[in-house]
Amino acid sequence: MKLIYTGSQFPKSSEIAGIGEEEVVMLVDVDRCIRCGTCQLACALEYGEEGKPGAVRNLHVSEEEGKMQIFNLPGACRQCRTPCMYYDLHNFWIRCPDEKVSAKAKEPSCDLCLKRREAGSWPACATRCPMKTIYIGTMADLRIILRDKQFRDYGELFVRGPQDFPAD
Amino acid sequence: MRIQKKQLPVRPFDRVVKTTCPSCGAGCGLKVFVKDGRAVEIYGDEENQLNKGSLCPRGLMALSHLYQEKRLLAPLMRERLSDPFREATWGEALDHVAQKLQKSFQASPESLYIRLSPYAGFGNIALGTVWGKHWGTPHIDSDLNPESSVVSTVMRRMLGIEVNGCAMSARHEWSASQAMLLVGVDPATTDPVAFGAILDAKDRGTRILVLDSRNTTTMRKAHLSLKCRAGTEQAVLLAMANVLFGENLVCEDFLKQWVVGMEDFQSLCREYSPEMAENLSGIRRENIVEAARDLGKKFPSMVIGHSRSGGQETGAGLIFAMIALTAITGTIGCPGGGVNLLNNFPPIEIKSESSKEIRNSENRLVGAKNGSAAWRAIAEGRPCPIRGIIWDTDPLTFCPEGRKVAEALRKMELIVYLGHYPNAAYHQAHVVFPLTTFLESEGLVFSGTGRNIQWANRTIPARGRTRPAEDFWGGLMARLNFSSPYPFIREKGEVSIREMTRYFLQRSPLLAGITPELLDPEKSPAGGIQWPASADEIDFPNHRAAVRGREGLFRPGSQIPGTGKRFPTPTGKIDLSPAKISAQPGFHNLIKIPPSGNGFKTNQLILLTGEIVDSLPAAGFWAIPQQFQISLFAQIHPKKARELGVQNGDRILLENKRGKMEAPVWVTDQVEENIVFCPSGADPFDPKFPSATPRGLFEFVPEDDGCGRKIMGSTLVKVRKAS
Repeated sequence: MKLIYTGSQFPKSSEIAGIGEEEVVMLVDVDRCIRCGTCQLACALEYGEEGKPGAVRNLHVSEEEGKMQIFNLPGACRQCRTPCMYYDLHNFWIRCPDEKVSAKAKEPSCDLCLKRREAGSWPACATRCPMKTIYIGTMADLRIILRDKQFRDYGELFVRGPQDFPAD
Repeated sequence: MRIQKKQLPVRPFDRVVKTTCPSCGAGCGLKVFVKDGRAVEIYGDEENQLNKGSLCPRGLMALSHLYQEKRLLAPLMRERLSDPFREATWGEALDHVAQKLQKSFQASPESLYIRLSPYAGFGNIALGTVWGKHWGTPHIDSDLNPESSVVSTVMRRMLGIEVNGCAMSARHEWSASQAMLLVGVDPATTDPVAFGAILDAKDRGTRILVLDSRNTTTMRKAHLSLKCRAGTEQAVLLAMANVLFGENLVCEDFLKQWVVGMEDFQSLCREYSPEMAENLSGIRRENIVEAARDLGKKFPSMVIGHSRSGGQETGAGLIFAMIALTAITGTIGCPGGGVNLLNNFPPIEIKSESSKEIRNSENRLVGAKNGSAAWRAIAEGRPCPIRGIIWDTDPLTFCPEGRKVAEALRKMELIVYLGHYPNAAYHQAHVVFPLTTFLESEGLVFSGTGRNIQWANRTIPARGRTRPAEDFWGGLMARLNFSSPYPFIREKGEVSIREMTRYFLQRSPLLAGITPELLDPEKSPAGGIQWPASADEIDFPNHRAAVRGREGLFRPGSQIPGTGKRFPTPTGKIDLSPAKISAQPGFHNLIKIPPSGNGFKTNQLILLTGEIVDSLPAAGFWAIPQQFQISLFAQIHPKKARELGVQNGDRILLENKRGKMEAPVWVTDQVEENIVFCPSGADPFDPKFPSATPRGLFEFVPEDDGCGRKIMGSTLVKVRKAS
C-alpha cells in the first residue's frame, strides 16, 4: 500500500482536487514500514535539545499509556493548526469527527520541517527513515519514484488529503 | 526550490567526524556533528556501503546515552555492599582491585569469573581474555571464544572452518539471491538496516520465506510465512530437504563433487516427511512443499539464521539442517547463497603470551553468552565455586533464576563492574569503573551481519573521569606485572588502542593484512574491509572501491588461505553425515509442544524473550523517550487477553517460582495463544522503564517441567492481571 499525503499546512496546497505537479506532497510506502519508530524519534530529536528529545510535532503517538500502534507513520492530521487526539489505532489516518480542540492545540503543528526545507533538505522523518519508506517532494518528483515502484510489486495507491474527510 | 534527502542537520556545528556504530552487527557508518567539544547531531553516513545513510533508533539514541543524567562519571568503591560508595581516582580503584585480587584470590585464581561483552569494545574482550589467561582462570566468557559455541563445532565438522560467518554472502550480494529463507530471526526488529537489504532484494523479485515460531515483523513482509510451534524449525527444514530429494530438485553436480555423507543424510531426511513435519510444527504440508520448491528451483537461494541459534536447545540440529539445505541446493560459495548467520564474529585470534598452566580447566564453564553454566556456578557453586566476578555493561539482564542469583551475588567477595549506568549490576558491585561510550573512544568494530571489520573513531573528549575498558585491563596488567610481553601497554598501564588492535590483527592469519589506518572512515573509504584479508592480498586493485576485501569464501576454484582446499575438512568436501554432529547437545531434542490451549491451565503461558531495536539496552539503560511507550511490554493473544480480562495498556504480572515481573499488555496476534513475549534488556533500576528482566524467570539448564516439554529460551509462567 502506498499513501500520498497532501495537507493545508504544506506549501503551495491551493489546488487539492487534482494534485498539481508543483505541489509538495508526502509519499509513504507502507509496504516497507517495519514500525521501528525512527520517524517519531527523528521528529523528537529535531525539536529537542542536543541529546534530549523534545515533543513530537508531526506524529500522533498513543495518548494512553501502554497503547501500541500498528504502524508508526507520519500520519498527522494536517488539516488545521490544532492537532488533536482523534487517532484511530486500527486505521492509522486521522479522523476529525467534530473538530474538537484538545489540550495539545497549543503545540505547533507539522510544517514539514520548514527550516530543513529552506536549507534544501528533506524533513527529518523522511531523511532519517532507515527503510526508505517516506518520500517528500513535488508531485513531479514523486511520480518518478512511483513509476520506479510500479516496475516491482506495486501495491494499492491511496491519496489522503482534506477531500477524504467527510464534510458535516 | 528542489529539496533533497541529505543527511545533514540544520543546527550549527564546527566539524563532522565519521565513525561506525558498534551497537549491532549491521555496522552503520555514522556522521557525528560536533560543536564546542559537544556532539550535537548524529546522522548516517551515505558513503558507507553497508547502511548508505540509514540509521535505526538504536544508533540515533547514542547521543541520549552520551548525555544521560544518570551516567557514571567517576570510579566508585566500597568495602561491603552495605556501605555507601565513595568516589576515587582510576589509580586508587585499580590499586584496590589489584591488592584485593592478590590477597584473596592468589591461592585459587580459578574462582574468578570474567564476563566480557562486545558492547564495551573489542579491546575489552581482547585484553580481558589475555589478562584472564595470565591470571590463571579458565572462566572467561566472551563471544570471541569459539570453544564455547555449538555453532563453531558444527561449522568445523561440516565445512572445516569454525568461524560462524564463513559461509556468509557479503551484504551487497544479498540482492543477487533468488529466494531467501529466514529461520528463527527477526532482522526487521533486531537489525533494521540489514533488513533494508532484504526488502531491497524483495523489491527486485526475490522470494522471501520466513520460518519462525512468532508472527514477527519480518514475517509480515514475507511472501510465504511458515509459522511453526516453538522448537520445531529443525524438523521443517529436514522435511524441506526430504521434498527436494523426492522431487529431484537437488544440485547433483555439486553433490557429486563436493559432498560426502550423502546417504546418511538422505536416510535421516526420510524420517521427516512433510506430513510428519505438519503434525509436529503445525505448518500446512502444502506450504512446506512450496517453500522447498522455491529453494530448489530458484538459484541461488540463501538461508539466514542467527549465530546464537546454537544456544537453543535444538541448536546443533538447526545449524546442521541449515547448512545441509544450502549444500544440497549447491549454493554454498555463490554470491547470494550460503548460510548467513547474523551477528557472527570474525576469525580474530586472541593469543596471550602467558605460560601459566591453568588449573581446573576441565571445569571450564562452556556456553555462549546467554548460557547458564556460569550462572549456576555463581548460584550453586558447581561444578566449581566462584568467589569473585569482573563484568561489564548489563550482565544481569541475561541472568536466569533471578532470586537465587541475586542472593548468591551478595555473598561474593569481590565484584568489579565496568559500565555506563547505575543498573542492577552496579548495585551489586564493590568497585565500579565508568566507561566511555563508543563516541568517546576509538576501536575495532565487527559488523557481523556482513563480513566487515570497521573502525570507530573518537568523536569528542571523554566525559568526566570515564575511560575505555582497555585502560582498566592495561592498568591491572601493569600492577600485576603481566604487561611486559605486550608493547602496546605503557608503563603506568595506559593502552594505545591502535597499537593493540594492530598487534591482535597481525596474529590472526585471515586478518593479517588489515590495519586500523585501512579501516579508519576518516582516512580510507567508509565501510571497512571484508575478511578474509591476509597480508598478501590486501593490496586491492581499486583502493577507492566501495567494497573492499574478498567477496566470499568457498568460491568455486578458490582456496581457504593456508589449507589449499576449497572446503578444509579432512576429505576436502562438505560433510553431511549427521553421525558426526548428533553427539552435540540437542541434536535429537525436537520439542513437541501440544497445540494451543491443549494441556495448559488457563493462566499458564510459555514466556519467550528476545532483543528489540528501539533502544540500546546493551549499554544498560533505555534511552528512548518515555512518550513512545514501545519499549517494555508483554505481547499476548487477544483470546488470552479476554480470558484474563485485560486490555491494551493494562499491567499483567508474570510469575513463577524463580521470580516475577510486571509489564503493560500489548494484545496482538503476533503470538500464539499459549505464548507471552517480553523483550529482554529490562533493568529494575532503569529511570524510565524499571522492571525485572524476563530472563530472571528462566531456569539454569533445560529441565523437564513435568509436562513433557523441554524448552530453552522459554519457560512456563503464571499470568494474571496486576492489581
